[in-house]
Amino acid sequence: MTAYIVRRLLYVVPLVLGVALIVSLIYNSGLFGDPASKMLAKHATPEQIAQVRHALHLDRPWYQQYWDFLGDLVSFDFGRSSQYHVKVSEMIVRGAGPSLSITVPAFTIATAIAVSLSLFCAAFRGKAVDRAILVGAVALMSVSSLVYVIFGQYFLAHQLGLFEIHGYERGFGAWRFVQLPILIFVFLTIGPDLRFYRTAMLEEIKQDYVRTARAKGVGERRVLFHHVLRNGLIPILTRVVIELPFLFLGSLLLERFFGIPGLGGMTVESVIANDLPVLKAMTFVFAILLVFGNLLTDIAYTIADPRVRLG
Amino acid sequence: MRVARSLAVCIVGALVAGGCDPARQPDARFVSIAEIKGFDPILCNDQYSSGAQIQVYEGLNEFHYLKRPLELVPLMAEAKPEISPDGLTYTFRIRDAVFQDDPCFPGGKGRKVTAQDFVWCWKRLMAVPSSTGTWIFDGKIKGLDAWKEEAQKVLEPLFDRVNEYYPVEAPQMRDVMAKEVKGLRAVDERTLRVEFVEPYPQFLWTTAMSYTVVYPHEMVEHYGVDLMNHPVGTGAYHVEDYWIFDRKIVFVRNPTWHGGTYPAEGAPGDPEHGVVSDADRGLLKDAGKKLPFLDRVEFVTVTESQPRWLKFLSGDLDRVQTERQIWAQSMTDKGELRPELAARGIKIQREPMSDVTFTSFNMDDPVIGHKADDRGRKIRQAMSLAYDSRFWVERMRNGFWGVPAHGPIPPGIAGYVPDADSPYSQHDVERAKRLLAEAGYPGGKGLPEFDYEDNGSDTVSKIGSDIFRNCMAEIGIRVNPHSNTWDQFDDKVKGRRAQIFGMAWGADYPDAQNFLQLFYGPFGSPNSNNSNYNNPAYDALYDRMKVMQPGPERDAVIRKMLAILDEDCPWSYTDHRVAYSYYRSWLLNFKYMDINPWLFKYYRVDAAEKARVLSNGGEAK
Repeated sequence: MTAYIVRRLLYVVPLVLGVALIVSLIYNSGLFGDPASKMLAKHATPEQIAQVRHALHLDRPWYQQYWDFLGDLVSFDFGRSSQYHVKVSEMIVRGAGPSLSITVPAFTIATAIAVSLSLFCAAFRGKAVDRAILVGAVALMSVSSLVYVIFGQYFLAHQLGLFEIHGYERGFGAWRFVQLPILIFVFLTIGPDLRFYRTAMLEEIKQDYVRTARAKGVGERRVLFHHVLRNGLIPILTRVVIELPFLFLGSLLLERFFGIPGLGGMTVESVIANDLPVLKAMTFVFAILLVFGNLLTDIAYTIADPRVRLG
Repeated sequence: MRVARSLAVCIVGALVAGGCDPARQPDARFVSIAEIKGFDPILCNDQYSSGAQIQVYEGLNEFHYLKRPLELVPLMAEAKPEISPDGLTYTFRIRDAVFQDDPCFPGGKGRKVTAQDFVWCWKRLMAVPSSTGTWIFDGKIKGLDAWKEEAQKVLEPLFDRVNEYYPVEAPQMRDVMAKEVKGLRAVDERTLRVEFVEPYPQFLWTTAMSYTVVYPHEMVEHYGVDLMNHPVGTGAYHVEDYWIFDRKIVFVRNPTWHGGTYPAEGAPGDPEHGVVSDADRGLLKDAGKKLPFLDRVEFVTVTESQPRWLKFLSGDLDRVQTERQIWAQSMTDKGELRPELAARGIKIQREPMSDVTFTSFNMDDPVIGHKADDRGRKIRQAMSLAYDSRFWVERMRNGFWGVPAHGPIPPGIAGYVPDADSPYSQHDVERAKRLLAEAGYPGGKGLPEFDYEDNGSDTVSKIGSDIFRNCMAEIGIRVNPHSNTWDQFDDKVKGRRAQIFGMAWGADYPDAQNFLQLFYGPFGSPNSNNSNYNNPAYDALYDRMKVMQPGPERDAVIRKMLAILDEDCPWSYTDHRVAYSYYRSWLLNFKYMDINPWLFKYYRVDAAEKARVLSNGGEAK
């Protein structure tokens, strides 16, 4: 196991180098505008722009800029946001809490509901209730996320006063502001999750060992929870663990619409504002999270299914 | 079980307590539609960041809260400056005031403001190469350009690339910062003298801009690059709780503020044009009373339109500005507030804005620019005539919150020429077709497809560019609109690669020079003349006009300049916006000022009215 983890960790090195190269090349291409010109705003002179470009090393060849970037990564100093002039690392640390305060509860609730309903569907497969749940899931998926946001803010928050419309408060006060985003997150994710888990459960329920268990007179509840759920855990685990890195990133849309100062909103802002240090840092952090997420998935397999061996 | 129950009670209690602490409730809450970028006055100069900064920092002057057109009144200056007869030397007496208490001072106690503080801050404005405000003093103050060059030579190698920061407070900079500049001196502790190389009539306007505010050098030394989050000023408020990305700034009354009173004079009425005087609008009820009225004000950022409007309707926000989506929900076809909203204690105020929106032709372009000479001019004139700015206002401003522009200078600005009317700003398709034929392109035949760059990619921007394309199609000109992010757009414009593009310009200060410089040849892109218009006759008049005091003589020069622009058509004018502010009945003393839209120290909240309106479910009785 240790050798496997070390080997997987070593894979991270070329991956990070590759990600860094792509990020460096994309942003040095000028595709998103000139950061120096942007810093100096509307009255900038060509001399001033040249001066700042030089100071930022933007007038250097791409490989030197790549080297600079790698140096920053090695020192784990992502610098300061070019838009807000605060440390990117501090932005990430302070943004993670608000993001997780939405995504963790929402993801937990959505997964619990989706897994439970998928078992229910598997038990009543092909019957009216299964079809109704499936239609409901497809309907939930078909509605644009913006519609949920607009409906939630207008009807649930403004008209009925059940939730806060927008904003955030650090500490316990956050609870008032995250309820509606959590609810919408659940509605947004439950559809695709349910369909996926239902398929996984149906795959299992068709297996010979289920038929054998039933033939032996094992009760339906035991078949579902002991046999089907246990064996259906592998695809569930895969999906859950793969989604874990995304939880840290928060929700791009919800954070922006609800004014949650999390990493999702921060990423969107930095894309709009071409905030290179933040974008580079977020790309790097996300790549690392994905690598560790994949590693965690593989390890989780062995726990869920002893037949899986790490090579 | 009992433990679990106790724990649950504790958590619920903490949630309730954390969420509803009445001591932390603000007296008022205002909204910014864009992110606030921080409190460094030399780097963050957008309207929203400046709006936050002016609550804390103060300059020598400010704009009179009520009078229109805008007038300057002393703020950190004790009185109006003494100006030498040749108009070259300004002497200010600094008010007796202290900086707010802050850990950056020894013992945390704020010290007195001196004239030297202004000198230091203005030098910092000029020394930092990434400063966005050097243009206000470049080439203007005696000896400052040479000093700037010297200072930047020392500062440039100190640049911290990772933190993108020029440390003016570094020990290596001490000697340079202390070096005397002939035209920028503290004569004594409270006397500031500024000497110019030539008359600079716009200078006084710049003393009300956030670039020229005063802050202690101790703040820069103590916080360094983190000063973005730690403003230390002299203003009516100080920042209690702020972290740049939390989208909320809490301002609380500054106990050491030098004080000020609510103005005793307001704008007069104009019954002929239906303008009610400030006195009749109830804006002078607090005349002479001590400021500020509010102890605690929240300034939040809500970038999306719907939650902003819903929060306003719920009473969470005290004021919002109109926009396309809100207009349809809130106004009648006659441009009046819907009765049901008026019944909920919502009021509306209409004020012209100091801006202009336009379509710019790139004068570097071989087909429509200078190189095409008379043919290019006729194409621009034809396109300008084909463009229907009235229809644009109808569609994009709901027909009300914009007025078609006939020149670059907005109304209400010193130097505005009321009867200026570009002969090519009227929609006249037949004349446009004739001009196009005269240019050698009858029905647009022989002309290439033009690229139109839009500075957005949203639906509203798309409608705007479609209007332009359809107008041009009427005379046979083909236009291909391109959506851009702001940075892509800016890059094309500043790189002189945009052929035709839509833009807007808001006044830095209320003077015609600020708009006329947009056509001055030496200011071509990447500077402010984005059309890259270059006409020696115009430039000569500009050089004359910029050193003249406002008045009939200058107006005559401005007329000549406008006549040149009318004929050359580097822009096709679109509109001047009109601000419609919605505010709640409990917000008193509110008067919109386009240049400083948030002036918290003048506002007052009638708490009893607020409680009454909100307890009635938003219905005013």
